[in-house]
Amino acid sequence: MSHPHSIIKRIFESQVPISADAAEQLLSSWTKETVLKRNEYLIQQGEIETQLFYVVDGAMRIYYPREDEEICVGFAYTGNLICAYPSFIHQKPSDYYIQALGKTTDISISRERFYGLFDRFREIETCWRMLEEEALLGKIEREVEMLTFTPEERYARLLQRSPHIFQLIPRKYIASYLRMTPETLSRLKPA
Amino acid sequence: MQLQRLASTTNNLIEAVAQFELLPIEMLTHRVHPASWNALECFEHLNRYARYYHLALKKAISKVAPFAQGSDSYVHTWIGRKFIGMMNPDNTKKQKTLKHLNPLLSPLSIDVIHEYRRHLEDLLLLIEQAHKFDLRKLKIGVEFFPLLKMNGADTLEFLVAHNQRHVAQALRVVNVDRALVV
Repeated sequence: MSHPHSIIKRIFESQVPISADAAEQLLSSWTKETVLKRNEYLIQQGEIETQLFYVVDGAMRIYYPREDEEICVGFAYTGNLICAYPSFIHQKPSDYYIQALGKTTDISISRERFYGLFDRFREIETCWRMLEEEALLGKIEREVEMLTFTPEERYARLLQRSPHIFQLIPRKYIASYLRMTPETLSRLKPA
Repeated sequence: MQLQRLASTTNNLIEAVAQFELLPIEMLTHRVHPASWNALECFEHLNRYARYYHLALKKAISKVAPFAQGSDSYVHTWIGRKFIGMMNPDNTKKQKTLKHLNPLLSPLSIDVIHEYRRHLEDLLLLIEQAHKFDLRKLKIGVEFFPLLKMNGADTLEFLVAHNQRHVAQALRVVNVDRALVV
């Protein structure tokens, strides 16, 4: 698998211009490779998140375990940055799992290294803040959708925002994410 | 012009492009402005140049014998410097691309990038073979005006510079909206 650094650099540059020096420091630390087989975990409940990952190839789901179901709250695939965010921030054990849905390759930078760049390179911290803002806005949108939309409306929004999702993620997980049964999803989108 | 530098630049481009091949199609077809190219169109533009120039180079090579005193470094001709200079990323003047080289609005798929990566690998081979020849002896007609000739050294440098320019453009336009998943 060849270098994904050009896309990682692009993700940061698209927020705020970053100096060649900052890019060099960021990318040279972003090298730890993790390869997962289908159903293996990037992180499990109880573990502490120490890395920020870029998904080079593959797809993963984020889910909370409940007594009789696994509640899917998000997906990550090629081109995304991902971490178990609450654990990443407060360095306490993660409440949720991130699981590979097929063979997945990620590369990561350690939280320590990443935060360590903020002092020397203000623009990296600014980029990170802007990425977090976008993520937060996404969460707020999803909260409104979950609280006020009908299942049909939720499905329509997902299709509009991420039309490729049915090619990347198994249907049962999409149904879980939309908080509907696989049968209801089949009615809305026949297989 | 140094052949070694052209080879390492081309290698870097191959690595960058391989990552594009994995991205979701929405990122690759995203347009920042109705009249500007998306990433796939940048690559298709480069494919059209490669289809012409790689063939022209191979034909020219087949007409000359390998030269024991092939070289690694060359000085460019006047016409070469002009064409190469146009590819400089500091040159922000929008080039009026000729119609048949402008892929805007033609239907494109991910195959465009697969093809482009093969062209880059092809180009790398050409660069690696090139040290066996006196590149000044190769005459390549300019694509839109075949009576105007560049030599082999100018053509290789021009191709690499042109590839760099448009791969950089593809990187700029690829949509990385909502990159962070939490």
